[in-house]
Amino acid sequence: MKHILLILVLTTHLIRVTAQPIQYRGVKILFPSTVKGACERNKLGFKPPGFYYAQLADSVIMSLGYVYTMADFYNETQPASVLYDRQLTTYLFKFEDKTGRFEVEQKNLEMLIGRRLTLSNEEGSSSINYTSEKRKQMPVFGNFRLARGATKDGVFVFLREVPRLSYKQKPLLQVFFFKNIPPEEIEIRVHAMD
Amino acid sequence: MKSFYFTFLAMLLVMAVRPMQAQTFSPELLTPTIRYQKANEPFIGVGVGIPIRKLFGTKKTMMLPKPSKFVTNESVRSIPVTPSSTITSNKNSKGTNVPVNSRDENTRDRRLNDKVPVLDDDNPSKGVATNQCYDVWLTTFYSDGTSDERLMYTFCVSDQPPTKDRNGPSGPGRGDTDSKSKMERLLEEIETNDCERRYARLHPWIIPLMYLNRAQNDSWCRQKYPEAATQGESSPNSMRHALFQAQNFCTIGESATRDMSQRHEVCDNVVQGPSQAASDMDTFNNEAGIGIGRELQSLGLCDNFVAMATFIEEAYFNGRLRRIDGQPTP
Repeated sequence: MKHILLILVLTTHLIRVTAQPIQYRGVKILFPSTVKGACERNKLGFKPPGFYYAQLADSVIMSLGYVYTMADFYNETQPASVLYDRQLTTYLFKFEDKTGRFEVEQKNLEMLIGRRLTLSNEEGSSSINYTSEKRKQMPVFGNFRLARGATKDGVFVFLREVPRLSYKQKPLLQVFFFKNIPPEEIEIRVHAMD
Repeated sequence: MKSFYFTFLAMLLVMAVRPMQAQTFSPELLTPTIRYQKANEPFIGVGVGIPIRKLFGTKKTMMLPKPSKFVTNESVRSIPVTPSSTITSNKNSKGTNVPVNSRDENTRDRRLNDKVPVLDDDNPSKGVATNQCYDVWLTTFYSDGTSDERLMYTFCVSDQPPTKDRNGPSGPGRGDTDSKSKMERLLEEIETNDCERRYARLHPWIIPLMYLNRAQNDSWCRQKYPEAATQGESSPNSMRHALFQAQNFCTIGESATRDMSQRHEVCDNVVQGPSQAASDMDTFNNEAGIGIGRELQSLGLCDNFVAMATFIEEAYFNGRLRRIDGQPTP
């Protein structure tokens, strides 16, 4: 009886700590996976040479990031199946329409992963190196807010505004889920200008 | 019975501690910390330090590979291996004319300007010697100050596709079949169509230069605008096209750049892109890139990739490039 109870308690405990896959805006964030796996799970569309995406509600576009080589994107008419075996590293959610909802989305993500995100101000990785006088005239000069965190299973979560260098650009939001990618590459990606 | 109660209480304690962890973490500990290995120091790694560190004084770590030296620059030089050549002089990186036929001094720099022969479309082999072979050497410079040089391939000017028969008929020069197959592999790797290949076989010196330009272009896109590479119809893709044309203008010259870009978009009167709109967008941005290349050359900035990327990025944000819908970027 004693042993049964012990096993019961231990089993309950283990079930509680088992990794739960994250589901964000109807998309199951699953690692490790290939492009093909993600396409089949989420019925993704494709734009050549290597853009796998899904149009979600509220003008959100989800796309995949994966390990690629230099020659993967030269043929701008290649079929979707060419890159199916690539290892998945990123789920990217781009908010194409609604702006100014950074705090709301931050709370949503914190509730999703059960942890708080760390907020910081960052500078985008632009090649343009303006003078200080010119910088003052720019709207935000590529500066953007970034919130970062990680789930218990080691999935890195980032929320950011897209860096802007033009008044024509809106301060749109992006959400990233990373895994199986070196941290320095994560930093490069979240500081990229698009 | 006593031990049963003791076990049960211990389990309850474990269960009680877990929710407490969720309440006591501090968000700044979530930030991943990266430490690289110094010489003769054990590797530490990267870690997200809660809540295990708080409870047990240890840090959960995830191993990172030791960073290796990285490539800072690459250059290509071609050495003629037979006496005759159609190119009589060229400029090195200091702007001095150097003879390309001299094996010792012919540092055939990447910046060819307009020294490549201009081809007549009706007579594509005009002005091109078809019995000239070159060794193409790639020099790679690393972040730790070292460099190495390796023979990429030997190519011979020919307007015929390569033969796979090692003992069969082939053009002049040593290792001809092998060299052609390597050249063809490079052409395949940068996804050239039949029209581009016909041109490139007559101007083989542009192939390694275009290949390196592609590599540099890809590296820049990966860092600054990943969508420019992955989505052909995206707005940042205009920068990828314009940058590649500016790079080519500064390395293989205007006529070869324009010829190759036109053949890339329309080959044998067939539009090569996924749609007419995409082809129009690419054509417009290619021409803008050639214009930017001309500006860079007039300012003496062709050797400066950062300046080139800045010009392209400014053109993008100032609406000099075009989106798929024909509107100015961004």
